[in-house]
Amino acid sequence: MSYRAADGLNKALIRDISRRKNEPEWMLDFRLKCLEMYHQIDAPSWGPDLSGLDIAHISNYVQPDSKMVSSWEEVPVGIRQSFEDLGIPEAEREGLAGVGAQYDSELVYHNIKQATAKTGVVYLGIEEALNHPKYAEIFKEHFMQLVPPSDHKFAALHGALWSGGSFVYVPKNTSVEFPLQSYYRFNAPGAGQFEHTLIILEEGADLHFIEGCSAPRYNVANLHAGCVEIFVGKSAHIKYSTVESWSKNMYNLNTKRAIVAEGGKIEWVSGSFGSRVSMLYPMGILNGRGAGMEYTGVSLAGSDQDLDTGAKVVISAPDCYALLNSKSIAKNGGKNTFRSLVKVLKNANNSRVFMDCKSLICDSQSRTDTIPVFNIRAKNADVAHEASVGKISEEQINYLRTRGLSEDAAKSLIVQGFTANITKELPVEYAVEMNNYLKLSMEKNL
Amino acid sequence: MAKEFFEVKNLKVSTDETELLHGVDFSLPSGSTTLLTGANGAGKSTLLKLIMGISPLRTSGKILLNSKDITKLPPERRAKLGIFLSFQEPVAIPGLSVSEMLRSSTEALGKKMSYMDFKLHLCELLEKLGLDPFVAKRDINTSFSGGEKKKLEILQLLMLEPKLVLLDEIDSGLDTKANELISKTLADYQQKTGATFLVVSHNLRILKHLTPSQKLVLEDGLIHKDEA
Amino acid sequence: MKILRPEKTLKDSFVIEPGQKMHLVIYSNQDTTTDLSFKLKNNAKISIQCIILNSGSFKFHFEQDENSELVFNGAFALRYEQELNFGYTTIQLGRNSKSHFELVGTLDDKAKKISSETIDFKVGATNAEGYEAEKVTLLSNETQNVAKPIILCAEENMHGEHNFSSGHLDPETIDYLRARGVNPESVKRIISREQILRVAKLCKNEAIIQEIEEALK
Repeated sequence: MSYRAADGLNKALIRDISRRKNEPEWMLDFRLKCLEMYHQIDAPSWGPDLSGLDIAHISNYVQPDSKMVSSWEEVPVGIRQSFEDLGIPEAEREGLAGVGAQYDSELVYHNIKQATAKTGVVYLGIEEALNHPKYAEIFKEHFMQLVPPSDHKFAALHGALWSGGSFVYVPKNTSVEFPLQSYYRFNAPGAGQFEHTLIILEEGADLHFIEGCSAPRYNVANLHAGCVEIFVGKSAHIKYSTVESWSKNMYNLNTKRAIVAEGGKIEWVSGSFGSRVSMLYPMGILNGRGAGMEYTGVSLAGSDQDLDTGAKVVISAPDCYALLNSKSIAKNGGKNTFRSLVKVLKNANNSRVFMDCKSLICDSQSRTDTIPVFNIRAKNADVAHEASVGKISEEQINYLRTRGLSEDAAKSLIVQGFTANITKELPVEYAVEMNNYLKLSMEKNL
Repeated sequence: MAKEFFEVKNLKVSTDETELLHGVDFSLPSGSTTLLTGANGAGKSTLLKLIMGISPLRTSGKILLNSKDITKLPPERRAKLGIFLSFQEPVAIPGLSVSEMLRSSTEALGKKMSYMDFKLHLCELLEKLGLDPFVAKRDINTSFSGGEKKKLEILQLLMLEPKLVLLDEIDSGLDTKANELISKTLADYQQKTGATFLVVSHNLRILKHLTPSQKLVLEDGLIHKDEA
Repeated sequence: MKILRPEKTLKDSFVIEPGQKMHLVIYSNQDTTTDLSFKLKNNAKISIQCIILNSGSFKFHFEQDENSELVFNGAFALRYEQELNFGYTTIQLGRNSKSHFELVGTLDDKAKKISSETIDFKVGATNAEGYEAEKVTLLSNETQNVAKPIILCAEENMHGEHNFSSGHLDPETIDYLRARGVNPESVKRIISREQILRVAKLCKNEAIIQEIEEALK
């Protein structure tokens, strides 16, 4: 039987959620403390306008009419159809090691290919991990340690309301051959989604994790305040790719953070196309010698969108590196902001950071702002940054028009070329989806 | 009098400060090659861009293709009518591969062919022009030498099969071997298709295998025939 | 040319009338709070060289109308526990307005620099161009270099660029100088000095250049 909590955020709701999930006492206490913090912390004084978000009237917990299953056929037809339209089961058959599908607040499908499971890789619904005899301890040690609820108001909200998500553990020297994927679908209007992804990679492990998101459009606001925490062990490597095309009533306030040990590497690949408002700054904390972070992001803001995205890196060990590459496009009155923080602490000797941001602005109703912040204390660190903002080159448009393309088609191809370095980081089906979306968006004045 | 394939009538062009062309008149017979010369800055490239429809300057006068007035048509319509401009400085578009660009262009111009046929044809043309097959995957005009960029212009020409070819200094920056290849390729193309060429060239090397039937000089904002 | 030697506090505003040019040299060798604003009317031009050899708080605010041009070259050399707070904002309102900003400097000992440079392209600043660049060399491990190079853009038809770099002395340069008998401490001073003088020489005023050279000894 499907269940939707009454609107409003209060202790009774928290207790109800915890009870329905059969959580241990410590988790209920944690949630209640987070709720308190949420009420005490102010909303950020910078960034997009969040006044359209009324937490009191967002139904914070929606349980779909299904329990979690591990066989696709057991998922109720309505929910299954929603994901089949998005190609999820196909993708699993063809090129993924495992798939998790989250519908509103709950995980409905989680599966991991047998071959992957044999290598000792664990991919569970996160609530299963919370209560699992083997993983409960590791869960407790890591959960919201990297993103503490005190970090900001929506981290506290997440801590109070989190529901669903994935737990991934990759053992030492294990390479997961095919990507693992989670897909989040919002179905209920005016609902909130607070999934939590916790990934732990032991020394020498290797993983590609893909996250996709979508939701139909409603007139009331939806809120996504998810959280991703990644612990990258010594010489381990993870690529975390997100393609987000939430509908335009969505407030996407997601927090993603990785901590990287010696010789390890985190690659963030991020495509932001949807949401009314996004505040999204994947972060890497490089605290082992030789740790690395790469960020490749593209953001397209169309009408009624205010996308505030970027990346953060804190380097506190020597010989680390960070490469950040961002492309953004603002059109039809959209607003794009690139915001970043690069902090290089005293002992980050011989570390190197290079950041490149390019922004296109397509008309004078739109806006694009570039706001990077650097705080450097290491004498022997090299940090370099370049940014440019401009319109789509008239020369390029004319060149393509002389080859028979209309002005809109020319702009669309140029924008696809502009973002090509990001699409090539994504698996093929996502790259195709992204290019199709870009094409449609440029040609249809979305 | 037989109608000419292509005509420019009383074309005047001006910037905010000055008039560049004072009423240019000329015509091109079908299947012919016309050489256009003139001093640097005379307005030769401007004239070719005007014919292609990509000049932002104020103009008056008429441009006719097969008696059809194309003066107000946008460049993509002119391309569909079979006009092709080979740029003096081909434009780089990072992230857009040679193959993707050509595929989009051939589709826009209504040339129906399957993807396999397109790829095969592209490979043949690359080989014909002495270009590596991997060129198809590289970004158009990005990190290519000057000579390679000129070859890419010719590659596009051969793919798009225009009727009126405007060549803006195609031979500048070409070594002897490349010049020989391009000149021969253009001559073969003209012979096979009956295309009409308007060639702007300073050093005249491209004419090795092309024989102009008329020579025009652009001077002081006007065109006159070079009877020499 | 106008020369300003800011004392403890300096607050002033300037209007550069249509078609007029202004050349301003600012030389600061004492702790100061300086707040200067400039309105560049149509076709006005301003060129500023700003040399900072001590702590201070500097705010520069510009508004640029049509066809105006702003060129700002700044240089600083801070050491001990000196602290520099530097703010630069140009609001490009007019068509074809151009701005070009460069700031170079060195931080030694426990010196600290916080800078914020903003180019703000408003709607109507068609064909405007804005450029900002900052290059800082850190000469010790106790310094702090904080920078916020910002571009805000509401106009489609413009071009804005910024570059930022923070790094250490190029090892090859150090080796070269040391091979010529220059000791490591002197290498730092030579680099700092050279950066300051390069900007100072842009003012083409021998008296002020000499004054700065003396101060750098």
